[in-house]
Amino acid sequence: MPPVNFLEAQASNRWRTFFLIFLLTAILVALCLLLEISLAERGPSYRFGGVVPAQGEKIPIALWAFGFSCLYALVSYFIGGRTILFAAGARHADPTSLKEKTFINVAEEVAIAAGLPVPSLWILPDNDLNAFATGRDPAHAAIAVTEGLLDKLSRDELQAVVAHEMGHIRNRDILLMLYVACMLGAMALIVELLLRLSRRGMVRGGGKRDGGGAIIFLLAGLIGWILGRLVAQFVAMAVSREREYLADATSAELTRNPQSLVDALRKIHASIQPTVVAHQATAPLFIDDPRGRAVNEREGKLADLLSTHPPMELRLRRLEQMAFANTKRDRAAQGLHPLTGEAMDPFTK
Amino acid sequence: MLSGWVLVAVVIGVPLLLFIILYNSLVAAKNQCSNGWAQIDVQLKRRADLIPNLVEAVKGAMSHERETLENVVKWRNQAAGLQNSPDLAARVQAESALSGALGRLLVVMENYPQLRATENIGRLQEELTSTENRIGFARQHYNDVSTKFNTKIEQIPTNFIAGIASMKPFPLFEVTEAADRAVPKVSLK
Repeated sequence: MPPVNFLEAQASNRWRTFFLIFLLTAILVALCLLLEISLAERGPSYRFGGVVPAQGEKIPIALWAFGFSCLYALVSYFIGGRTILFAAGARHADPTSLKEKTFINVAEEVAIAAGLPVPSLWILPDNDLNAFATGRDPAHAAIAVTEGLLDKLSRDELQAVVAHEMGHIRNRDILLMLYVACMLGAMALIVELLLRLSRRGMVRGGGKRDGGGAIIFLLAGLIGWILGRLVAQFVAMAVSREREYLADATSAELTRNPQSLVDALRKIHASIQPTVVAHQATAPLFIDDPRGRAVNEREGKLADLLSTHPPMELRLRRLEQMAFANTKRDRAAQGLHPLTGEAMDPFTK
Repeated sequence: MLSGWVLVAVVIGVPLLLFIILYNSLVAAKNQCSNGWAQIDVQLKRRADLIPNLVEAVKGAMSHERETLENVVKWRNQAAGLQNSPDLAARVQAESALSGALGRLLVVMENYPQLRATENIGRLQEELTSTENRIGFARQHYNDVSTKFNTKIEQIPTNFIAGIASMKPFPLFEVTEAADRAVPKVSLK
């Protein structure tokens, strides 16, 4: 069931975050157990580049892995948001520049509308139009926008985009996405480590037995990479489309101005250059897919699983319906026909 | 004997617990409303502090618009004077009139491109736009949380508790305030 309001979204996001951490830890531990067993079979004196001690004094790697995983989850919780911002090369918004001061003002306005604390505000040195929110909870949240976004969007449009990001903060999407990004990052790190170890094993050992060990490391790394990617992808992406729709709706709820978000999304989507500061791990965080992948524009079950963002046309259509509801209400208040906007004959009313 | 006591504990305890939970949720909702109300005051004060600067900055270049400027100053002083007054109706009237006067000033300022080109006037204009938005959003937020609270104290079962604690509904801002908010829309291209 996709979440329909922000309380449900908060609960579902917390649950998914826990599930993601649990599943990835389990995979890591299982892989290490497998690695240990296969290494133990190679004889008691087996050493591997000094990383795995000889049989007698062996510390179970699986235990290390478990400890590492828990520690990593904890560290991600506290400094993950900062890490993502630094990885994207973000800098603090500068109140002495008028454009960035406008961004700060807009964020403070939207925070008032949402009744939430003002998040810390960051600028991404990038000419593309994009934005994301991160952090663990509303009190420790951050919103980052690209320089291109501040250049190209009007004040109202910027407000709509910031309100969309505030929606992600209020719905606690940021917590889950923080973990997805951190876990994907860790996965890449572990694979890199294993690849290096296997390469070192090949060079140093030279013998047939060590070459075998290298292949085991390589295989473990490969399996871990594939499994980890799949899990993180599925946990995070299965509802990512609903998440974006919900944040769009929150933006309309906060600004009462869905048309501005429509205009902003049109501009963001029309700028075809990729967002260079984004990469695989952080891509799902952005308001529009920084990679501009074609799968996002498709509908259906498979596309729902693989894509990180809903088709732009559908997002716009939903928002335009909200905007039209506003227009209808305004017209009715002015005594005009709600659908056509023509003056109505007072006698037929 | 024991089961009798358990029965008594359940019969008294469960409703009591329910009462406490519902009462606490009501108090939380009520405090959100009071906080929302206080937030509006904060933003109104911010606006009153900002206006003298703006008027001072544009006075020279906008000598043809004396009337508009005087209107702003007049309503600003009236609103600032009423800031701690218990007469809510007079306050609301003064603040709305100030919103209207400011909106006109911002529109008129559009006719002075050389003014907007000046760095610090551009900044002041941005601050003013932001202040108007903040007031609007603070009211909107207050209306949102108040509507939730007002609904709660009318709905079963919380209405009984609200009745016992004699909780009153919070007044809402009317739609006309939203129209006021829409006036000072300034394009900052």
